[in-house]
Amino acid sequence: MGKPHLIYLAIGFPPAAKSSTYRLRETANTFCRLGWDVTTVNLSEDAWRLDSGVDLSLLERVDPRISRVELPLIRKDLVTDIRTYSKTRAMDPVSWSKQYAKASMKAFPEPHFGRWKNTIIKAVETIHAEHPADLILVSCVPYVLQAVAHHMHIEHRVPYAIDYRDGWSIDVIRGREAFPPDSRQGRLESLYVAEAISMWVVNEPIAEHFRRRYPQHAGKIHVVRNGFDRDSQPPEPAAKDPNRQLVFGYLGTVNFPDDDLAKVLAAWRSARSRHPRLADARLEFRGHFGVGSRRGATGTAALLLEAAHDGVSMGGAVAKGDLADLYARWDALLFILIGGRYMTSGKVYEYMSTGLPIVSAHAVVHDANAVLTGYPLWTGARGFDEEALAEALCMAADMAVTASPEEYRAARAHAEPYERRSLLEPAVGRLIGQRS
Amino acid sequence: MRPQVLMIAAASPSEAVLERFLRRFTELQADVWLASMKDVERTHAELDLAGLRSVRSRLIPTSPEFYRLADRVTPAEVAWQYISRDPWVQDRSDCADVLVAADANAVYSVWELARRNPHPAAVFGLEAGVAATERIVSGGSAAELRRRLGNVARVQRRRARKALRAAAEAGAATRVGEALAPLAKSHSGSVLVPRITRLEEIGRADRAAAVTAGLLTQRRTRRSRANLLGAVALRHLADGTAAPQLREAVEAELAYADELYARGNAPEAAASFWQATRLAFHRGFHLDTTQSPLADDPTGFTEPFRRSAVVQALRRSRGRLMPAPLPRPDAPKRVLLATANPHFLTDIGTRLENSDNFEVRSVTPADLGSTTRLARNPRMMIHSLMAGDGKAERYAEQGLRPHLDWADVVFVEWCTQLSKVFQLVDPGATRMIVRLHSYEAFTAWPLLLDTSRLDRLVFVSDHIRDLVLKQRPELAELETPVLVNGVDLRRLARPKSPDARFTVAMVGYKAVAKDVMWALDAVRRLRTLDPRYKLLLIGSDFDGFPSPAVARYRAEFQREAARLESAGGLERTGHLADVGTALVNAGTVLCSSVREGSPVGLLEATASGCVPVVRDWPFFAGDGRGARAMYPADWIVETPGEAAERLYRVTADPLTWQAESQRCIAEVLQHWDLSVVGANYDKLFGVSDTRSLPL
Repeated sequence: MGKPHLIYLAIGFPPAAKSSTYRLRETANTFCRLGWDVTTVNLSEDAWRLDSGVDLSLLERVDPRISRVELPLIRKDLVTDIRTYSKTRAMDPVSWSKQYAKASMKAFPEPHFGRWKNTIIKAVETIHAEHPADLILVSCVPYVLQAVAHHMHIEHRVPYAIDYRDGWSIDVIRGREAFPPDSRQGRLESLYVAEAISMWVVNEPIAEHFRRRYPQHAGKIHVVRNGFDRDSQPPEPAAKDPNRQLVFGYLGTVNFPDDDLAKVLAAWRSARSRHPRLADARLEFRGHFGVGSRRGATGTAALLLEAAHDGVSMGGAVAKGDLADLYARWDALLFILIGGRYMTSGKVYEYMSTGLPIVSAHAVVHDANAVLTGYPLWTGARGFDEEALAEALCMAADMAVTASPEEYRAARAHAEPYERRSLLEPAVGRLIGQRS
Repeated sequence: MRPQVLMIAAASPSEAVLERFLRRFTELQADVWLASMKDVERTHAELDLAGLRSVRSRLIPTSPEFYRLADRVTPAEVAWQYISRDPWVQDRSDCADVLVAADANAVYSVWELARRNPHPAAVFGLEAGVAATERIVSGGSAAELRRRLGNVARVQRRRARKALRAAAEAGAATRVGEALAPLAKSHSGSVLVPRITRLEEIGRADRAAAVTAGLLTQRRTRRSRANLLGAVALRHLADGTAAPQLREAVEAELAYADELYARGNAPEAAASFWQATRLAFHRGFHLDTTQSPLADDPTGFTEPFRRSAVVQALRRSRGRLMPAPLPRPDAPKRVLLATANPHFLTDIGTRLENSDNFEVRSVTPADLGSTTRLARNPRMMIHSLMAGDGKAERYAEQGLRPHLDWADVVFVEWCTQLSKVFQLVDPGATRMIVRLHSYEAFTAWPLLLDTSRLDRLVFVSDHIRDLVLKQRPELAELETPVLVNGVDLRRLARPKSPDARFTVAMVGYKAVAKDVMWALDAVRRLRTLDPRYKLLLIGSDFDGFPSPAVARYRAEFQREAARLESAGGLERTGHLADVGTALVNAGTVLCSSVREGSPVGLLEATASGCVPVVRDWPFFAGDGRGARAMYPADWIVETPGEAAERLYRVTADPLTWQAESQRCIAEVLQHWDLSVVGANYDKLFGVSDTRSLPL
């Protein structure tokens, strides 16, 4: 008898440089380690170059036994070659994009991605025909992948599970229901949940939302947190010169509103003016700034570049392989985050794994607090109040200079339960058990 | 060969972001050229670009068709209308390896340029521009050679076309006068119009009129007549000269607008109406010069508007369900102050807020919800009113109703589009007041007011009221009180520096209407009497990319100012938040304007102790109106020589100057200080019939 086969619908699998990529990679690797054949379904490198970018170093730690299928799909609204534009699009690219997003919802009610439904179904049918699947796991977004899994279940009786991560019917940024149960999306989600053998989400508030919405399926709903990857973890901080120039850092996708960033930068300016340790300090932002035509030219990018005289700098994305070195260079971390009680992020785990002081700039009521509480070098959640943030930055500067090796170790120890592999192995094991 | 990158922007790109990308282009050895609809030649000059072009500022199209089209298409299409006519852009596009649209409204222009030149990459976004340049740099030399050869061929073809066009124009130039008439059918306006304007410029206005009349006989439709006359007027505008047949051009355009309106073509009628107002009220004809055909003959110049069916429709009486009730003297009044520019309202607003008799709310267009779009986009409002689709009224109702329900009195500061927006809603029992300062008298807005929804139209001076009422006599049926600007002048009182009497202040000079050249002339004459005198210019210098008329005036001013400056006869402060700090060093103030309403800077300087010398504003001089009617006779002068003489006389010795200074301080505080005029505003907002105001 051959190995069981997982078709993993993982849009964002390496080499995509997407916020969910690490979770997708480790999930696939775990299935492999547990004796499965794994086929991942993703977009092409070219498609990702238009979107959030590509990090080829991510492929280094993809299990070589995994088969990677890349579909010839592309988000046309991100295409920047004007010679491919129709006159209608050229005359009003913004309206064209809105119309494109709306038209994408004909086949499946999801902007941009709904139109991919039939192409992905055909691709998965082909994969299944060549190597029948024993399980389909979909990782959302895009949510259209649920339709593919459901189709395979109806047509071929292949069981499926959904890794919702954030959850379709909950708007984790605004903290409210994304659509009512009797809407088109609501009816479909209900159908997909009913037929799925398991559902993963990243935190307890989202799980609670689904349990309330689908009490009859509460048993299928599991919290599978994000975590940190051991290879991104820098070595324990060595003793540093207390009079050194401090460097604060932010790493990740820059998707927060301009207004929030403006408040953070004002707080930074204020903190620099009042705290001697911050007088010459620098604040480095690294990550992705916009997609498509706006790449590198967003409002947040402009704000950061205009703050250069305050020691603020903006750099590009960092390859996964270089993360540990980057964190080793920084003295404290700035944790800017959208959302509230339904949002945790993946970044928080990686930040904690460094053992560095963390300054939170997010809503006071936020699920990141659930994992940060107890972290000894955390300045606490203070919202976006400029004065409170400035105080937090000063506090972090003191921590960066005065924290003892024991405190750094305690901070890293706080993160240890969130090592990604240790979180995913039991989750994958449980899912395999549910399949049988 | 260095890659050539042409970047097109409809907006003004962030300098910081652009600078970051320019470093990457520089690493690729690329030359980057930027053309924008905004004034990047001023704002982005410090960046490391191969060249900059402020397209909109550089080009004043001379075709009425251009403007009519631009008024009814999207911003992206408007950008292309300008870009496609700019030779600088064309030249660089011909040689470009990469065309970059820096923002969404620039995409269409790049798309069109790319259609005309198949060789360069054409991309949307700065990062995409860098990537395309990288591909070119890493591409083979054969591909580059092909591209270059293609570009060279294109440039040669275009130059040949240009030369043919120039030859045709030169040929036509030899046949002026009646000989032009036969050409009218076969030649476009671009050939004929320059010849007519040239005749006018060399003083052959009669000949130009005859030629125009001859050509008009060949043009039988209203549209073609409007095109010819409008093109001549616009050509003058582009040259920065007066347009002798401006009124005829306006009349022809309004006739065309009326025709379109009668045919039910609201979009094109609205565009034609805008073109008529552009011609009639372009600042290049009235504000950027020291003469104005409207000021010369307000009744005659605006007569076509009074006859226009479109104008009648736009200002038709909408009426109100109930008239504003008589104010109750004892009850506090809720006053809504609405303005896009509160500069002259600050002290009045503070006074109202500090009074127990009033509750005050202040709003700007940005605070008005769905109404904001009407105030920011008056074309949309006019288009909707002409189409009769009810959209403008709906937006106005949604945004203004809560304010009208709250307020007893609405005071709209400036008679501009915001005043018209408020008229789209029945004010019910709310009293509606609009204040008109000065420049609005040179716009179409007073002509579009609906008198049935206006209770009071406030002016800041008699002569501006006269000017407006001559344009629209029925406004006299409204209460039209004159209330000078209410400013707290006492705060200007500060001790003067010891040698202040030798410094002549001028507050504000960047508008041509201030006629700073006249002031320079006066001070030059003054210095021949005593070289210790100097002129102190307070305020911003001429900035931006001005119209040709302003550019010419500015160039002349800068030349003369530099001479006077090098001789120690001129100082410039630049913009000051508090003019009082500069006035400490001045002993006199000179008002050299050709046109004023109720100049605050003059009064502030006088209140600070500067002895005033006021030119009899030429726009209103001659019949005892204007400056002569507002100020004591001894303040007024006619010529720079008279100004120099008075300046010298009132500062001849310290005692004379101090006595004059104290007398003038007492004069302004007695008549123009907020403590005096504020009571009139109290009456305006709350208590009395303004006909009883002692003004």
